[in-house]
Amino acid sequence: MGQNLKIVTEVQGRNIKIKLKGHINEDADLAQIPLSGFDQYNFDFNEVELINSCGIRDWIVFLDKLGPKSKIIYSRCPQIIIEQINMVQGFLRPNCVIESFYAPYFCEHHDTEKKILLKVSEVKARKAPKMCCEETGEEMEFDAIEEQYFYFIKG
Amino acid sequence: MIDIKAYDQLHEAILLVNAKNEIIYFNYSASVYFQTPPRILKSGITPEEIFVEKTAWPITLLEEARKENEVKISAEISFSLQKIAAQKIFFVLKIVPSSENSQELFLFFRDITVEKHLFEKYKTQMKEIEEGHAQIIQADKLATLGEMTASISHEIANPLTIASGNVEVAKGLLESAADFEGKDVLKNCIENAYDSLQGINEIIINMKTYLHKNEDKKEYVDLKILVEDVLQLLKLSLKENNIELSFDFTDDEVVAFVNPVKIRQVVLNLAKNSFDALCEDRISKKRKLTIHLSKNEDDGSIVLKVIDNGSGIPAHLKSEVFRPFFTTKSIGEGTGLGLPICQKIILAHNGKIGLEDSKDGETCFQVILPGVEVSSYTQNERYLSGLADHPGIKVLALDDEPQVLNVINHILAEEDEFVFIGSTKVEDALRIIHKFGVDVVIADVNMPVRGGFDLALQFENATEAPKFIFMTGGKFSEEDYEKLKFAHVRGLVQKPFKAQELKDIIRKALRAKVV
Repeated sequence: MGQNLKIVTEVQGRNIKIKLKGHINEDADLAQIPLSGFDQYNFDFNEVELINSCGIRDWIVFLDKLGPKSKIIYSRCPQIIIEQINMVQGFLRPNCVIESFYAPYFCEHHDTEKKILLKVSEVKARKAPKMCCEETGEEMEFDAIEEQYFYFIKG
Repeated sequence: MIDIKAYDQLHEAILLVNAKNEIIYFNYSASVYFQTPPRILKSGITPEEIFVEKTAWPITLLEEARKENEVKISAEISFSLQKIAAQKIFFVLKIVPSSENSQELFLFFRDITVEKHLFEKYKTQMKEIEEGHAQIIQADKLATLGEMTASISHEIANPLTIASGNVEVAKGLLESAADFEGKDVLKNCIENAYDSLQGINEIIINMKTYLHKNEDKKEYVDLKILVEDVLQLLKLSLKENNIELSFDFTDDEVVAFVNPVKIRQVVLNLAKNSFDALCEDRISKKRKLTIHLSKNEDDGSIVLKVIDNGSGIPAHLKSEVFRPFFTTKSIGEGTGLGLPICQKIILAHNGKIGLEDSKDGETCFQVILPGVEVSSYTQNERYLSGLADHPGIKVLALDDEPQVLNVINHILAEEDEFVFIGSTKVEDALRIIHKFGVDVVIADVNMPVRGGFDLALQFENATEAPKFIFMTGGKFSEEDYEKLKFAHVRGLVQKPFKAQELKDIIRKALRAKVV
């Protein structure tokens, strides 16, 4: 079966940046990611298109192997990853930090959905920060259930 | 009374539809599962509007559930989502009439997408494993048969020698016997028997060579002779099946530095595949098997093509032919290992093998082998990175006879101090000398086009040049002796030469003029 997950690593001293592209599923080979030798792992999920239950299981096993000592950063998490983080125990560990993630907004003027990159610090009390359409300046509507979508943000 | 909000905590997607089938409730998982924002789910749409396909929605089953006020379970349903049409989801739908209003239906979606994909993968892989297993058993049988063939060919050799000898004696006696009635017929019969026994002998020799286990020994080989020898094994089968065999060979010498046993295996495999394809296609026009052999003038590489006009290879299978255990033949007829083994052999020779696009429905397998000089480089790879700094003596032999190159290679391989490079053409030899700064050149003076004198002449005015030793199987003429006065000539050797004689003359050539 074909490998649909492309993993690109970039080492910066004791830190490693890992770009994931494609599908995290039963064919994904996470063994390509080195398990030791780094203090910080920065996972860029920007180009992940799909994650299914097999992929989630593998990811959790991978995090178990990585252990609690290394710092793990998730950046540019798409909506499908955030939904899994909210639903699955073990995706987000005490040593994991979400640096940035996409949130769905709806522009009524253009009748289009937009994914806006947010930082966790921008979300207060699990309420979506106010976002405006870049063209019209009109406020956009948050396009999910806030309490559910921002569940991963404590307090 | 159950709090409907409790459904939000479930991982299963749940919808509640009214009598018009409009969604009036959805849990959090529904929004995630259908990749559809709450804004759309609560806009009064029906479930089927979430999907691209409209035909598979079990509307009848929903009606039955309402009418009978009964729980209904659908068969497996497949849909593409409006958001990501490329991905299909699979689910089983459980329809439960609301206890408060039987016209309102709860729809529970049990996702089986992953299960279905894994099941299909499991089935496909099991099939591949079963096929692979059958092929391995078949390959093992063939390997055993191969070992038995070695023993059988050995057993045949003895009675064959006796039979040939007796027929030869009978032939001699008949020659000297007085004429009698039917003598010519008998003579003809004996000659036919003798030729047939010789034919069997050739087949046995070829089989022994094919089965020989000399794994990594490379030699200078005339590929034209090798190819013709190999095709002898198929000659009878081709004739019986009325298949025309033709050789499209270049006029040039085609000498390669290869493992002849392995290259024989490749040629036989390709030719046998073509033969099988031609046998499958009995209704076709005149059936032909062509073996093409040529040299690329730009880089000296050797091109071997095996072309047939048989049943052909379907376009969708072309990328599969080198995959181990892939075969279109039924079990017992093909192992699916022939082409992968050929590929491995050719790659080990730093060559390439591929299925070429060909005209008029022909199938053409092409093998490209590096030219003889490049192969010599590769053989001496351990010295390549620092060949210029290698403390030994770098010897280039120029001769159009592969056997002579083999003899010199063999002699010099006895001593660690020599690095040997073989060449069959003056132009290629020149390229090597300029690239690697060869110490000694042993060159034949009687070659078909340009020989050792022509090579030495190129360095007549050069201050830095290899030392030349000329060799010939004939006699040196007066004119030849004049050429020994060339600036860098250090000696001459008469073929056949002894090993020690050659080594001594090379060592001396580096010290002084020894002519």
